[in-house]
This record gives sequence, C-alpha cells and structure tokens, in this order.
Amino acid sequence: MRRGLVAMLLLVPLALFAQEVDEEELQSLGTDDLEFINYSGPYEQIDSVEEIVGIGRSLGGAARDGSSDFTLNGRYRIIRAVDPDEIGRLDADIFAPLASARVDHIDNLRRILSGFLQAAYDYSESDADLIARWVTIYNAVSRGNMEFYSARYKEIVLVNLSSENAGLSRRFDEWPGQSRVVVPLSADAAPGVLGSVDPGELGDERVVEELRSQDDRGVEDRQEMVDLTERVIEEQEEAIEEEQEAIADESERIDEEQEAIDSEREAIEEARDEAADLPADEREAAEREIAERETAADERQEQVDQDRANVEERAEDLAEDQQEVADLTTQIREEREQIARDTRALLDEREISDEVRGLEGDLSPVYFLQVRDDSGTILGQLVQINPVTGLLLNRSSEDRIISRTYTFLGGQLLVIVAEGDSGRVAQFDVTSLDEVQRGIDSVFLGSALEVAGDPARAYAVIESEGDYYLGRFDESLTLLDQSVIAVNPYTTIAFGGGRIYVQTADDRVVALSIEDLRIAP
Amino acid sequence: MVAFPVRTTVISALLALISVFQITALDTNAWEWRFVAGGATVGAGAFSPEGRYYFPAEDRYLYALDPNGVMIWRTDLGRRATGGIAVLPDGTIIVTLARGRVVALNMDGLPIWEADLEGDNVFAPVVYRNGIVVLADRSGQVGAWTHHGRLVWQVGLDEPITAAPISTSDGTLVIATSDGSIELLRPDGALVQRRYIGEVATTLVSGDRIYLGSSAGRVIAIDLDGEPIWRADVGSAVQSLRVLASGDVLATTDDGSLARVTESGVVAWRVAPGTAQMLPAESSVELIAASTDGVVTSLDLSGNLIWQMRLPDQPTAVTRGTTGQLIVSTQTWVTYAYSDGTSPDVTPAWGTSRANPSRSGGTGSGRQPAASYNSSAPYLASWGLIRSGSQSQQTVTMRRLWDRAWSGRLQGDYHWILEIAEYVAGAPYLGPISQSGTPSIARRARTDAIRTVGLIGDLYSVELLVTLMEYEPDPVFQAEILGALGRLGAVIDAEFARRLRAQIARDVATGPDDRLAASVVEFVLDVDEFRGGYMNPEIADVLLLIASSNYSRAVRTDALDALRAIARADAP
Repeated sequence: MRRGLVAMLLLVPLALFAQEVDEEELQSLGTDDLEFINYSGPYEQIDSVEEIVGIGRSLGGAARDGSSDFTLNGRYRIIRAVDPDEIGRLDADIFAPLASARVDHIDNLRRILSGFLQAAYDYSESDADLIARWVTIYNAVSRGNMEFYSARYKEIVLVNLSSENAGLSRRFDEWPGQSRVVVPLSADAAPGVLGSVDPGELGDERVVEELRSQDDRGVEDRQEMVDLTERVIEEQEEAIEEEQEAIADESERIDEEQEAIDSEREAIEEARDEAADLPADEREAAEREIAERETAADERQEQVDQDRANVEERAEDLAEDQQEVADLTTQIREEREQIARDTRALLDEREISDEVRGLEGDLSPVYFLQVRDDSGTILGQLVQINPVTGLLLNRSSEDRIISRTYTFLGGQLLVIVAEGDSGRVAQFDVTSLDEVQRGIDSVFLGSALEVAGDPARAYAVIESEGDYYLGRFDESLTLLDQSVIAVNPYTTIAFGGGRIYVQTADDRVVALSIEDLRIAP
Repeated sequence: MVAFPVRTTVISALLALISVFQITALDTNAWEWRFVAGGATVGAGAFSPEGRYYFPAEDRYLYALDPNGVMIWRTDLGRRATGGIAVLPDGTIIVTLARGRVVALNMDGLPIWEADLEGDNVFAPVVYRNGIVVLADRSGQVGAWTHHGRLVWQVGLDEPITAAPISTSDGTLVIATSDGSIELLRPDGALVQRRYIGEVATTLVSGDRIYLGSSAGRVIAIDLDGEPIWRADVGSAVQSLRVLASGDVLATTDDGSLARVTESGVVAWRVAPGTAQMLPAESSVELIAASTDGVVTSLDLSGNLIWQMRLPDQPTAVTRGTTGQLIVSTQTWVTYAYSDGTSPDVTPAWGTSRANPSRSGGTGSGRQPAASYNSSAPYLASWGLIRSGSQSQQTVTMRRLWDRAWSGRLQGDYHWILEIAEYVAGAPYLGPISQSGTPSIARRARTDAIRTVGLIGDLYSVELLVTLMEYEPDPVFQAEILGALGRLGAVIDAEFARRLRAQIARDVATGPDDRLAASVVEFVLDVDEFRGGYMNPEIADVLLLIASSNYSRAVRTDALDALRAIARADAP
C-alpha cells in the first residue's frame, strides 16, 4: 500500500551505483566537487545546492524576461505555455530535463524547480521549496495520464506533452528527455503573486492521497500547503475588496455623470423653448448652439453607457473571482478537517506499546470498533487494545468501517467498509490491522454480518438490481451464491437446525436451506 | 497571555547561570487533555470566567473548549484572525481579524457586532471593567465601543502606533507612537498629554507605573503623569514585559534573553540567550518560558529552574488556564493541557458576580471622574434644564440625550450623558435627584433616561437598573427597566432571577398585570439572544411561574415559548 515517494527514494542508491554522478555538469557550472551531492559538509553542500538552485533561477529569469521557450546549456528547458485567449483550463510552465541532463536525485530536481519559482514568481525560498515538492508529487501521480492533462490544461500546454513524457517518472533514469514536469499556473500568474502556481490544482485529491499513504500521512507538508493556500486566499480576498471598492466608486461616478447628463438635457429643452421665442436671426444661432449641446450630451451618454457596460463586466468577473475563492476556501476547509483527523490518528499511534504486540491466548488483544460521527454517518476504525494495560496498541488505517460489529473469517477480521453509497466486505490482518482484501460485490451498508459453517462462510445482505438478497462469501470474499428470495436489508441472519433464518422483503421470517439458500423444505 | 514569534533560540543556556537548582522533568505524555484544531492557534487564546478556553486558529474558526478540552462550539470568523482576543466582563468575546476588522461574539459563538478600522493590524483589545473595549490599529486609529457594539468615541493619531495600547489602573489609555512618544488619553478619548520619551516602544505594561519596552533594548519606567523615572538597558529589543508584585519587571528580548529589572531600575540578572517568551501568568511565584525547539521551562522569580519539559511539537504559545493548567499550543495544530503539579496562586481573571463589576478583571473601570467634565458647558446646561423643574424642559433635554445615544453620537460626552441618564432614571428613588428636592421628573423624561442607559450599554449601569427594579412599583417603568437591561445584555444570575420571581409573585398576588410578565419574558429572550449559552434554572422557574399564573393566555404562551427557545439553545 505504501508506494510513491518511498519507492522513488529507494531507487536513488541504485542509481548512484548504476550511473556516474553528474561531474561534467557541475564542472561546467563552476564546481568540481561532485561527491558533495552526498556530502554532508555545510560549505560544499551549500555551494552545490546553490549551483543547482541556480539552474532553476536561470530558467526562471529567462521566463520572467519573456522567453516562452528557453534551454539552459542544452540540458534543461523551460516552456511557458500561456494562452490568454483560451479560458476554462490552465496555463502551465513546463520544466523538461533534456537528454543530456543527468539530475539524478529528487531533491536536486526539486531544488531546480524551487530556484525557478523563486526567480520567475518571487516566491520565498520556503514557499518555493514547498511548491516544488508538491509539483513533483503532482506530476508523479499523473505520469503519462493524458486524459488527466487534457481535462485540465489548455491546448498550448497539451501540444508539449505526450503519454510518454507527461509528468514525472518515479525513476530518475526516466527523467532526461522523457519527463516533462507541468507546473499549473493560475490566470493571474505573475511575479509577486502568491497564487501564481495554482494551489487548488496542486492540492488535487490524488496528490493528497499520495501523501496520506506515507507513514506520517504527509501531515507536515499538507499543513504547510494549506497555510500557503490560506495566504493565497487572503491575497485574493484583498484584491476582491479593492476591486469592489473600485467598482463602487466607478458606479458612483457614472451615476453622477448620468445625473449631470440628465440635467443638461433638461437645460437643453428649456433653451429650446426659449429659442422658439427669439427673433429669427437669433433663433438660428441659438438652435446651432442647442444642436452642439445635444451632440455633446449624446457623446457623454454614449461614454456613460460604455462605462456602465464595463462596470457590469467587471462586476461579473468579480463574481466569478469570488466564487473561485469560495471554492478554494471550501477545498481547504475540507483538507484541514482531514489533516486534523490524520493528526489525531498519528497522535494515538504514538502511544502504541510495542511490548505486547503478538499477544496470544488469554492475553490476545481486544479488538474494538471505535466510531465517529462523520456528518451524520457513523464510521469506525478497528482498534487493538492490550487487555493487560488497556493501552491502545494499534489502529487500522481504514476509517470508513460501517458495520457495527466485526467477526473473524479465515483467521482474519471481517467487517463491512463503506465505499461510496454501498458497502464491501473486507478482511483485516489481526496483528497489523492492515487490510488484506476486499470483496467486489455491493453489500447493504446496514447489513448484518455473520460467519458460520465448515468451511467457514460469511453471510451479509447484498444488493442486486435494486433488491436485497442474502449473500454468501468464501474466505477470499468471493460471492458464492445468493438467496432467491429478496430480503429486508436490515434482516437478522440467524442459524439453527441447519437452516438460516432471515426476514423477507415483505417482512416474513423464513428459513433458508444452508445448502442452496432457497426456502427450506 | 501572549504568543511568541517563530524564530527564537534554545533555552538551555539558562542552566549555566543557575547555581543551585532541582529540576523536575514533566512527562510530555502526561497531558490532561489535547485538542487538534483545523489549524495552528493564532495568538494565545483567552479564558472566560467559567474556565472556557477560546482561541482563534488559522482555519479561520474561533474555538471554544470546556475545562476538559472538549469542544463546545466553533464559529467561522470569515477572515484570518490576527491574534488579538479578549473576554469582556459579560462574557462577550472580542477577536481581531485581518484587514482591520474586529468582531464580537456571544458565549454561543454567535456574532453580535463588528467594527472596521481603517488600518490593518489591529492590536489586542483594551478592556475596561464597564465593558468598554478600546481598539487601535497600527495606522493610528483608536476607538472605543460598548460591549454591545455602540461606538463611544474615535480618534486618529498623527503617528502610527507601535505597541498594543494599555490602560492604567485609573483608566488612562497609554498609546506609544512611532516618533518615540506616548499619548495619554482619558477613557472618553480626550488627550491628557503627549510626552516624548525618545524611544520607540515595542511593548507596554502598567502597574503602579507605566513600563515601556523599546526597540533599542531598554525598559523605561514612567509615572502616571508621563514623566520618565528610569531607563534600564536589557541588551536587545524588548519583546514582552511583566510587572511583579514587588514592582520589579521581567523582560524578554528578541535575542532570546530574559532579564529582571528592579523597581529602582537596576538590571538584577540577565540570562542570555535562550528564553523565547515569558508567560504573564496569574501565578505570582513562577514564570513560564518556551522556545521553538520544543522546550518549556518553568522558573521561579529568581531565575531558578523549577521544571522543564520537551514537547513533541514546536510550541507557538503558552498560557495558563484559570484552573492552573498549562496550555501549550503547537505548530502541528495540537493544543495540550498539562498540570504541572504546582499550586499557583491563581486569581480568577473575572469575578463571577454581575452585581459587582468592580470585582471583574480588566484594568481601569472605564468610568471617568466627574471632575473631568462637570465644568463643561453642555453638561452644565443639560443638568440645569433637568433640574429646572419644567417638565417640558426635562422631556426635551432627555429626548435630545436619548437621540445622541441612539445615533451613537457620544464622542467626548459619553460619561456625562450617562451620568445624567442614570440620575434621571433613578429618580425619584435613587441618586442625587431624589435627595435634592428637585420637583418630580416628567414620566417621558424618565422613560427616555432609562432607555438611554440601556442604549449606552455601560455594564456598571446594570447594578443601578437592578436596584431600581426593586423600588419601582409602576409596571410601565418596570417594563422599561427590563427593556434597558435586555439591551444592555445584562447577566441574569440566580440572585436576579430570584428577585424577578419575587416580583412576579407579588404581581400575581396583587392582581396580575400583563405588562410586567410580558416585559420579563421579552427581557429573558433579549438577554438570551445577546449573550447566548445559558439555561439558568432560576430563570426557568420565573418563566414557569408566569406560565402557570393567571396572566392572559398570550402572556402565558409567550412564557412557555421562551422556555422552549432557551431550552433548545442550551441543548447540546
């Protein structure tokens, strides 16, 4: 279950043996101290880190200066894929280590990205480091997934990607010439704008799940990212407030101008009435003047109408911006809730006592389903308790167990797990509480769960074509058969005299044959 | 209670300067409770008289925890909190937010009012015991609001403000500005004097004197007239100050040092570098210091180590609860509560009696001495008209004062308007009018006076109104008094509830008057809406008495509805 970054890091030592460290590259950058890539000494390491970050800064500087496609030393390329005429999808900066680039450590690749972000968008070092980490994970989980990129990115981005090179391979030897790291940009990306790299996109649920799969659930990184996103939100809120004030001021000015125009038209009418009483020679001059005033008033009215349309457009744009901020705020709120839950789980796990793992006999661990109210739905986690000390030993990572009881099948714990709108039977290891396997058949969320028979079989209420039936599962959680008669989904499942007693859909209690789950004779 | 900046240094150097000590190492895992919020705590939180712990977090919620660390509620603040938080004597919670906004919430976490200051970075509120709260922002804007959100006064200083304002024991507001001066203001916002100190203050604190910590690394003692007494060099920019009962001052500096300066201005000792932040706890025997490498240390006031503890996470704020618990907030969104086994000399922050706000916490009373305004022309003129004996003059005068209170035009005249309103409201039973032989006060004037007291919202007026209720036989005025108490958001404690019950019982015995009962029901609902979060069993008894007595059906039904409303509000 644990993969991703751990796998990435495990490959690195192999790479160090399999491929020479990039001496040539570093020499060309002014240092010949390659071994310091693994060196822990501060001076050399700082120099090397600085040089690597400097690669990114050079790329970022070029992009900032207006280059849409820049290659550094024939090794690293940055493509700025921005198209203001297409709306609805994202722009991107694309970082591509070319075939001759030999960056071979994820830390260094992140340093390059960090340097790029600092130079291109004025991110602080800490923010740039954080975003660089998330960018690499984002690209790793979407590696080669053109469907993913097509749904999110503009054509100008997509033309630079293919299923072979989109995203970041988890193998460092598939980076040069074979990986293109996509940095998602927001619509207002610019130097000094904290939200230039779209934090909502980076915080995609698949990226979060990747982090959650780590031992520490990526809590620290996720906390830092929500903090960064909060700052982005605040920056956007301030801009929205300023724009609201500007729109209000402009609307007021327009209204005042309209009043002035209306007054002028009234004055023109009065002048017209007065002109009618003038002698002919004077009347002509007056009428000319009136005509000029009318023309001027018409021009002013035209301008006011245009201004009003502009303000309305700005107001519409503002409403869209407000909605985007609201959506991002909701996303961050949900992520905060999840982080808090994960933090609580981690805190509990810290208190696990190792002394009594693998207790046997009378000292077997006590299993417990600890529940919580998740927006009205009661969900649980399996918990293991030391019967001697009462200390919490372990807790399952699965926290969406919907059954109110657990049982044992094949020496493993058996429960029903909520998956979307239905449930699945699932087995968990009695020692580690790791999930072993999960059935594929849809089980009623409120179903009873029983194990009986030799060989042992599990019984639960399954859903099929809109009706509910008693289902029988083997130790591999494969559905072996189901009752012919439909049952009440909340039925008890009771055993006796070689029969199984259930409540039917029309609320009769009937006995089913244990052999074929048909009505017993 | 304070929070400290992230970048500070390790405390371990303290050990080098301590000759004899015995350190108790606290068990990090022996927390009494812990709570995980949706974000790191912003600032250090604040406590209510009942021991609730309120703190804003980075997820833009304000959390309320009970003394066992169980969340009672959390409320969406709508904006990022900036760390300033205070609990007023009536339980109202004031929170400072980004972009100059300040919001006040009741005990249920429901917003009551909000104010927008011009500048960003609003400082921690200054709270007076009468419920007046003073807010200031860095741009130099300063304003005072009643506890229910009525603007009392507002001024704009010429210079930016550099440290959170404070109030001295006599209620004088002390504000430090960027030109190295301090400004002393009366509780009504009028400038008393402006004094050039020559140092830019980073922090202020008051005891019998005013103490200023400067960015130049000095602690300066100033008398209450603004005259500097001494200056002590503590080596680096001062971060926080704490005044001890002896008059000595403890200072932390931005290089992580802790220094003790005697009452006469001599630096007695300095430990450097190390301390990150000092806890201005209620305890008189120890102080708490915390550093960003996760070590929390308790010292006695001689600088000796009492105990030390390493936290699992980096702390962001340390405070001590009203029950003596040590509350530590960390960067990983977790707040821990520890009992360190000591018995601190805990003085509750706020008194529990509504009837005696002088036993409440805070600094100055917020009331201005009469000598400061009793020679002013508007005051003398208004008083003259009231005491003239002409009922039409009294009515017109009080109506004018009511109008000013209603429209919030109290700046500069808050205190004398309140005084006159209280005196007129109290006539003919209480106060100088009843004793002066002044002819009777017009009913209309008295009605407006009572309403004015309610509008102004000074918590010290509660006692007057409650006492007046005892004397007043007229159900019309009883209703007005209860209406004023309701607008004031007065606390209904058991004692007052019993008084109300006795009045209802008397009313029932003498032939019930719907007006009294109806006003009691309305009063209870007003207060419940304003303050939220209570179900005093005594007040339930009052409502039940009304519901079961021979008042009109409408009044009895209203009483039952009120009971249900309060019960629903109090439901978990």
